[in-house]
Amino acid sequence: MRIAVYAAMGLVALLLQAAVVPHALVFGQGPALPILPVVAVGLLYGTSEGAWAGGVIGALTDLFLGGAWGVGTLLYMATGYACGRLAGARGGGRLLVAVAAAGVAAAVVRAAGIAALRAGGGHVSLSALVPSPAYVAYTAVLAPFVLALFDGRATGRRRRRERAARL
Amino acid sequence: MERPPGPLRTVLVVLCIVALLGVYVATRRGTAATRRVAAAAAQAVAPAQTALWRAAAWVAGDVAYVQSLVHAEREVARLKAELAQARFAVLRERAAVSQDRTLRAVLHLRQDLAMPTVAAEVVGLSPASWWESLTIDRGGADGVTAGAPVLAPGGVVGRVWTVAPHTAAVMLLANGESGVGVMDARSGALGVALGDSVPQRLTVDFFSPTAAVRAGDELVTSGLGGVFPRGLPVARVDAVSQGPTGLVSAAATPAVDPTTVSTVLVVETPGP
Repeated sequence: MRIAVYAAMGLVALLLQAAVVPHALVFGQGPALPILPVVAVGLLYGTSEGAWAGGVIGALTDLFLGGAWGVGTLLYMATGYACGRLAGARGGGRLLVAVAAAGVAAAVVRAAGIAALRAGGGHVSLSALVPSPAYVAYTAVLAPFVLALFDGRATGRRRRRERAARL
Repeated sequence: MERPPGPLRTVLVVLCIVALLGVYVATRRGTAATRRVAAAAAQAVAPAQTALWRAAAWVAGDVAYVQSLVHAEREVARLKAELAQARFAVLRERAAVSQDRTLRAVLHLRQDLAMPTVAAEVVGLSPASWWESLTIDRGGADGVTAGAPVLAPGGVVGRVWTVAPHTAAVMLLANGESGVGVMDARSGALGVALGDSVPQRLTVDFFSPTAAVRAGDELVTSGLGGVFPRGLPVARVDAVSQGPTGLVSAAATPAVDPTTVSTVLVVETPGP
C-alpha cells in the first residue's frame, strides 16, 4: 500500500516537474520537485520510510529518463535514509532542517547523477557538478511547504485514530 | 509485514544496493529496453502531462497579465479600467503576432530545409536535474524516429531519444550524452559540441590545434556525422582555451534556449 502511495507521490512530482516547473523558473532555474517528498517522508517518518519513499520515487525517475537505471533509485534512497537520520526535530527547528536538507539533497543528488553520467561515458566537465545557487535555493524554499503538507496529513490521521479510540 | 532481524536486514540492504549497482552497470549508456520502458511510461502520462503543461502555460500567462494590471493600478488608478482593456488588447495582439512570427519562422525553416519534417509542440521539460531533455507531442505514429534531429527556427535543439506512439523525448544539446559535429562559421574549423549537463552550456573540442576560433564566433552543424543537415546554427562561442594536449576547446552557449521554444521541427529519418 505504502509503495503505491509513494509511487503516486512520485508520479505527481515528476509530472509537475516536467509540465509546470518550466513555466515558473527563477533566474532560469526550476526546483528539484521529486526530491521534496523524499525529504519530507524521511524527516517525518524516519530512515526506513525515507529509504522506501526514495527508492520508489527514484525508480520512477530512472524509468522516465530512459537512460541508466539504478542511479536515481540509489540516490533518492540514500537521500530518504539520510533525511530519516535527521528526523526528530520539532517546530521551527524542523522547518530549518527541512530547508537545509532539501538544499543539500538537491545539490548532492544532481552532482551524483552527473558523476554517474560521467562514469557511464558521458563527457561532462567537473564544473558541471556545482549546481546553480538559484536551483538549490528554489528547492530549499519549497521544502517547508511540502513538509507542512505531509505533516498536516499525518496529524489528521493521528487525530482520527485517537478520536476513534476514544469512541 | 514483520521486519526482518538486524543482521538479515543489513544483508538485504547490501544485496539491494549491489543489485541496483548491477542494474546501473548493465544499463549505464541506456539500452533499447530502458528506452522502450521510458517511451511506454511517457505515453501513459502524456495526456495528463499535456493538459498540465497547457494549464500551467495558461495560468502563467494570466499571472503575468494580473501582475501588469496591479502595476498599472498603482501608477494610474484613475485610468485603471481603460488601461487594463488597452493592455489586454495589446497583450492579445502581441501574443497573436508572436505566435504568427513563430509559426512563420517554423514554416520558413521547413521550406529552407527541403526535407520532410514533422512539426511538434513542446509539452514538457526534463524531470531530473542531471538529464537535459524535453518532451514533444508527436511520436512514432507521426513519423518521429529515435535519433532524428530536432530543430527550431533559431537552430538545433537536439535529437530524439525515446519514441512513444504519440510523444517523444528529445535529448537536448546540453545533455551530458549529447554530441554534435560543428564548424566555426568564420574560420571553418571543425569540432564536436558536447553537452555538459548544465542548462545552456556546451564544451566544443576542435580537431585541429591551429583552429582559429574566437569568442563570439557562430558554430553551425558540420554535417559530417550524417545526422544533422549542414549549416544549421548550434551555438555561439563564449571563451576559447588550449588544453595540455594542444587542442583548442571552447565554452559555448546553445543557439536555442529550450525553455523558450514552443514549436519544433523533427526531421523525418528512416530510423535507427
